[in-house]
Amino acid sequence: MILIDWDRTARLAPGIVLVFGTGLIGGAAVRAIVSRIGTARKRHFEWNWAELAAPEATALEAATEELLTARPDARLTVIWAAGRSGFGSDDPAMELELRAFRRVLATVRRIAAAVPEERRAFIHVSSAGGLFEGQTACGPLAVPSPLRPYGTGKLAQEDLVLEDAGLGRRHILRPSSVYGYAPGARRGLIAALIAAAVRGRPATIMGSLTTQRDYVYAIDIGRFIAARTFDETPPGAATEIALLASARPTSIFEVIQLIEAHQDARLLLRIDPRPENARDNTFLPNSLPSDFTPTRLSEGIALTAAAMTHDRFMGAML
Amino acid sequence: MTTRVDLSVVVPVFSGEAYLERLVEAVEAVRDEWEREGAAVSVTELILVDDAAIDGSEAVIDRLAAEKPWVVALHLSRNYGQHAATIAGILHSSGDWIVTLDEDLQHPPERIEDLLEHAVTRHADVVYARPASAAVHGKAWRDGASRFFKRLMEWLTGNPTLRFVNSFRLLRGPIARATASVCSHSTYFDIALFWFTQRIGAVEMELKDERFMRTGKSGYNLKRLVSHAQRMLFSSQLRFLSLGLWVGVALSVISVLAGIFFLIVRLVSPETIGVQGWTSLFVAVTLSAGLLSVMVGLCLQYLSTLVLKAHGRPTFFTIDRSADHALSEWFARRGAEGSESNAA
Repeated sequence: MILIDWDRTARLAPGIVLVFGTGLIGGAAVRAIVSRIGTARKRHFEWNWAELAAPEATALEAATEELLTARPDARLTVIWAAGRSGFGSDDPAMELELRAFRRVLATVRRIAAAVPEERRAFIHVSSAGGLFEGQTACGPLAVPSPLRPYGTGKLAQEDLVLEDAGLGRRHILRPSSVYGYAPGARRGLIAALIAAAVRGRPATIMGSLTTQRDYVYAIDIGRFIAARTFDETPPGAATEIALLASARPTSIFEVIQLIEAHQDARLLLRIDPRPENARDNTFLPNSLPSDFTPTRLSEGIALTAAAMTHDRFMGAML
Repeated sequence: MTTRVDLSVVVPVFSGEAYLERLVEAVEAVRDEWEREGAAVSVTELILVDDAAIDGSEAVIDRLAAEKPWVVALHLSRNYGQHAATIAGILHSSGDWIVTLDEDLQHPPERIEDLLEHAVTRHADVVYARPASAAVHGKAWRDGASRFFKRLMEWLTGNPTLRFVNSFRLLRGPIARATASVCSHSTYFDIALFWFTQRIGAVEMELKDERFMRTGKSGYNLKRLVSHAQRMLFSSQLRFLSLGLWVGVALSVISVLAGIFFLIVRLVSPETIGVQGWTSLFVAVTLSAGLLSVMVGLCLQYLSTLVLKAHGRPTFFTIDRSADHALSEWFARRGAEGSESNAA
């Protein structure tokens, strides 16, 4: 996990941000926050998502307490973008993640006790794919209806956030199929296909060519999280629940076309004839927050490919 | 449990201010009727693609999208033409089936059901509305030119379904989106559809271009029609491209055979050859012409293959038509109920 803090600036009050999970989304959020405040300091803390061991929690609490003592008017924001679960996770795996999340909430409650409620915020990154799996053209009135333990687990995590008013201003973000590249982070379909094209190796499609998804660029989500982090609106009664998608259904076939065109290479593909995760999942534009501007898929692919190619030459992608 | 089939409606808009409200009402009537009947199909979205409209359509589209959550507003950055607007709409759709309509109500939304029934009962992937009468535009030259061009293209390309091509069409969603995703600005969408499916049908219905009949104005002027024709031509693999190759092969074979024949004649009975030299000249000219034709034919074939590759013609595409069964059963059940109530 990463602890970010900054002193008062011309526009912003001093702030402390705890980011749990530094993968594709968490990493993008950290970069977006730090790039906005040049003087922000970043500290890494050992943190095991499954077992938040006492010494680690104590170290985190001590560091935060020290910062809060030095800057009593600081705002505290906690970003949860962690979890190792995926679509294939079973009930025990999701239960493990839920327990870890409860422990994090307990730690956050202890830390946040020193901060007035109007200066606390909690940003929870959930999953639109898990919650709305198999639903298409989801509008603002669409109701989550998980089809597997992954979605049920994510919904249970959301409920914990909704019930806990002590967290302050709360934002539940539901990103659709996130793509992008961060060294060491889990790779989705788009990054895997770009990697296959760059390295000239075969890629396996674990879906059907006609499977439709809504691909959203990780950097867009990072920027949105940063915007909510810097938002100084006092907490209202309602928790913001925001769908972060591109609202542009895209079939896997189209993704392949775009990547082949961008990389000017023919992808070597193996298509799983019995895909377990081939249900469509799409969203309508009116379900997005008005201040969320998604990057076009073709641009996102180009940016992801550029980041991956850069890292390939630096040796990280291997 | 019956699987519900989603249908998206895509409408490119260029000058539809006067029609859009009524169009949305007509689509909504179909949507509501299906909801009431508990149909196996439902209209999940109506995508209005504003192709830099020249009238007040943009504001009307935004208002309609704000009023009805299932109406999606899509604004193109400039005027790209009906073809591109349709492709943009299709690429933003998510339905199992997609219907494309013109903005001016010349395509009755209540006939969508007929197209759908035809598609699921015959396992078609594309169903066009086919004008029952030849006088769609009410002007003989306009209708005649359209018919003539489609027939000419059918002959040139060997694609027997081009006569059906109409902007009122029902498309299987995955095929439509795959086709739209390979289309460049110069690819003709309906030609590219043929790369993904041969299951193309048509349903006859009365279609009248009332706006053209009344005002003489159409979204298509001569320049656009020519560009339309050009795109159709360049997206196709023309049949006569291989003709040059085979003419060349034939000439080469004839020249070789003639050479052998005249050589034998020269050796066996030289006295029968009255004029010296013409035979070798004849054979040399025929062989050269044949070889040139073969080379040109080969070049054209290679070029054609490259052009089709550039247009995105796929090696293969897979499709799942298993959901058709539930929908065709629903149509059959409803047909039977309709017959019973008529009899009663």
